[in-house]
Amino acid sequence: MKYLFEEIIQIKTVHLKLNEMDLANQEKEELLEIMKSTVHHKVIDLILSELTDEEKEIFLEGISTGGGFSDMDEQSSRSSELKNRQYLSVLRDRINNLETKIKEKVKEAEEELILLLADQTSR
Amino acid sequence: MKSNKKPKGNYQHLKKILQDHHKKTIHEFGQKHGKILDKLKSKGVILAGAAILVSTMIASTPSIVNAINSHSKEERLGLGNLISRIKSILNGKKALDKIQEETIAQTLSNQFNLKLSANLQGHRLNEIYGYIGAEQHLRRWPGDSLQKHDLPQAGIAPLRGAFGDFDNEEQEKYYIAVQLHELPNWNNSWSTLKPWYQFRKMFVYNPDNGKGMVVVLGDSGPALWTGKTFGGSPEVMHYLERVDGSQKGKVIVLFIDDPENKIALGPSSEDFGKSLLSTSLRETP
Repeated sequence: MKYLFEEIIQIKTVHLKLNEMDLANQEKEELLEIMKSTVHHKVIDLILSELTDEEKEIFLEGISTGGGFSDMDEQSSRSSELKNRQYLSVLRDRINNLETKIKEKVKEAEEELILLLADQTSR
Repeated sequence: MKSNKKPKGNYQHLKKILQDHHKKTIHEFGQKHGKILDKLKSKGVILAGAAILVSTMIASTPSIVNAINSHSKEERLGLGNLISRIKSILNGKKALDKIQEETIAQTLSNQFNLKLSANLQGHRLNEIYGYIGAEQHLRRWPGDSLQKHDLPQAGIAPLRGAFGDFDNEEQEKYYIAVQLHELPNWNNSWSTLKPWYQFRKMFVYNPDNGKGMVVVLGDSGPALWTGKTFGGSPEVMHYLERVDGSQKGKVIVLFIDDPENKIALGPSSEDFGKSLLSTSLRETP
């Protein structure tokens, strides 16, 4: 599954944490997918918080019609990557230090998830 | 000796913990942005986030998203919905920002099965939304006359267009004029810009009646003082149902990404993107 801005929302720390556990690959994939979705929603929340109501509506409509969330074939995936880059470019103009803010939010979200995972594996 | 054995992960338990955390995130997301999500839902726009708010089946999120994605890809809007969606973005504005431009381009791309954008290969017009005025016919080549054109009542310009001779009849039939002279780098770089813009394939859309048309950029103008941003050939104005003067109206103009030159000129329909090979191929000397 591809998410908006996936190229800058890299949850490597969480990935590594999962790899430390004795889980089947399929199980790791499923858990990772849930965590990616959580992080992704936090990033969208961050972006929406920086937009006016009218801009929020336009942004959400836009990602619902072609970028955003989807499980795509290769051709649609390439088209979606192009749209992702376009959205990133537009939002960069609109929101100061967008990538820094996204990376900080992702780090914060990862730390929450790591704590959850650590808490469960220590039991 | 320290064991290198990985800690045993209790998959089901971990899944439940992460799902609960995910639900909490979605719930908070919904609390904060519920108003916007509800408004979009009432317009028939469904997001994965909104679907997850409704459903607690996190494990089947991929299938929910697949269903949403196939819904938004396959189902084009009815004409009424298309008109109201675009109008809700335009909403009396004089100019559009980049998010609005991008959203409109994507909506129209999906609707007309074309690749449309405000920006192509680093080029963009001064405006994509503005009043369109009526242009006269242009002389297509030496020896051309008004009598050889449809809609002769529109008259014929005394001089040729900015790009000289047309390649074929269809280009002049479906041409628009844009304000090339208002591009910020036109004066310095016109020698490279002019060939790029010459007969560039564009899409014109009338937001009042939902009609769209594939055209070429055939001339430069109109002058800024006219208050108009674009000019349309007689056939373009006729199809789009746009008039000049006190009842003039606005259009949206976007680039079409058609590297293989397969999109035919003229009125657009749902099947446009799959249709005829363009007759606007340049003849080699």
